[in-house]
Amino acid sequence: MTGFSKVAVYRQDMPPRGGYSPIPWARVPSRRIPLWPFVSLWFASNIFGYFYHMSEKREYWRNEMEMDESRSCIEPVLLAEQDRIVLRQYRANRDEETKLMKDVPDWEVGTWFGEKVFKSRTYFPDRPHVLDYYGLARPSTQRLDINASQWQI
Amino acid sequence: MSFTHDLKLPTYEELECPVVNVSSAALRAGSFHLAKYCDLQFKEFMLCRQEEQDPRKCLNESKDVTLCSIDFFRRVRDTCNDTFTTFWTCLDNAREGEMSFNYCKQEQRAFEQCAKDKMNLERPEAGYFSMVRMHDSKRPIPSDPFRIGSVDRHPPKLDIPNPPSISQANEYPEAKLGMKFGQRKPWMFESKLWD
Repeated sequence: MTGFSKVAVYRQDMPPRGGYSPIPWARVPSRRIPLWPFVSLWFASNIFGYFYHMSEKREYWRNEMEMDESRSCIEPVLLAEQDRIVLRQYRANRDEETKLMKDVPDWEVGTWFGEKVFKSRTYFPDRPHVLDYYGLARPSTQRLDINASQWQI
Repeated sequence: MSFTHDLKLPTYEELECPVVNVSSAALRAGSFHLAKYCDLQFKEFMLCRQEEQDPRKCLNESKDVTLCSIDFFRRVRDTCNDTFTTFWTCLDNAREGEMSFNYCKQEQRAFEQCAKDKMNLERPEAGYFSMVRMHDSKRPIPSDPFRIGSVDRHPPKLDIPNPPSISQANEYPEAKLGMKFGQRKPWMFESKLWD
């Protein structure tokens, strides 16, 4: 053969000795915290909270009913005094009106130029109308009464 | 102002009556025992008011109510003054001006104990005053001024005994709702508080 006495030396890119290491192809799941403690805590708190909430509700309504009952126990006392005050005021208003309209011709006390307010002969209001009560008073009286009724002594 | 002279209004002398000189906190403090003590007068007055619809006709009953309540507070002042005073001052200083009972339970218990021991007045059970109470009185039934139909009185049909008091509540465990079957259904909520 001619021209093959000198051989070119080169390095071939071969796999390493022993072969390549295995390629990791399996899935690598992310780091996670377990869900069951939270779910169980939530469920337990629901169950416990249901019964606790129901007992609290019962207690709340018991207290509310106690307050309402005390108000309705006191009601007759206040109504009795209120009735007397209102009747006293009616009488004072009627007397005041007679004094005021003494010299007005053709004025019947309690009517509007002869037109009666209460047409029925048997009716008497059990609750006073604002004008019946405060009609002849100075404007500050109503404001003072509102103040007094809102401020509990 | 809208009352003519032919309408009969009571005179000042007829309307004279002493006043219950007690503040609203003290009224609320003594309310249950007051309603137990003056039960008859209260019922008479409210019945009269409801039937006649006329405050002029119920003046005597209203005076009875006021005098009975004054008598009650005088009795409390004579026997149970200290507990009562602590109780109503506690209510007065309650949170937010509500005068609610759940901030003053201790003083309430002390006053109830004192009322039971010294005045022989037991507070009725918790739901008593919310219930409809019937009453029959010796006053004649008024005519039907507003043509309602029938102004009937419904006297209580049975001889109802006194309601159980709070101290007796523990003796009747089966009266508590939901206890009848030993809490067989713990998931069911009884919406009725009392039976």
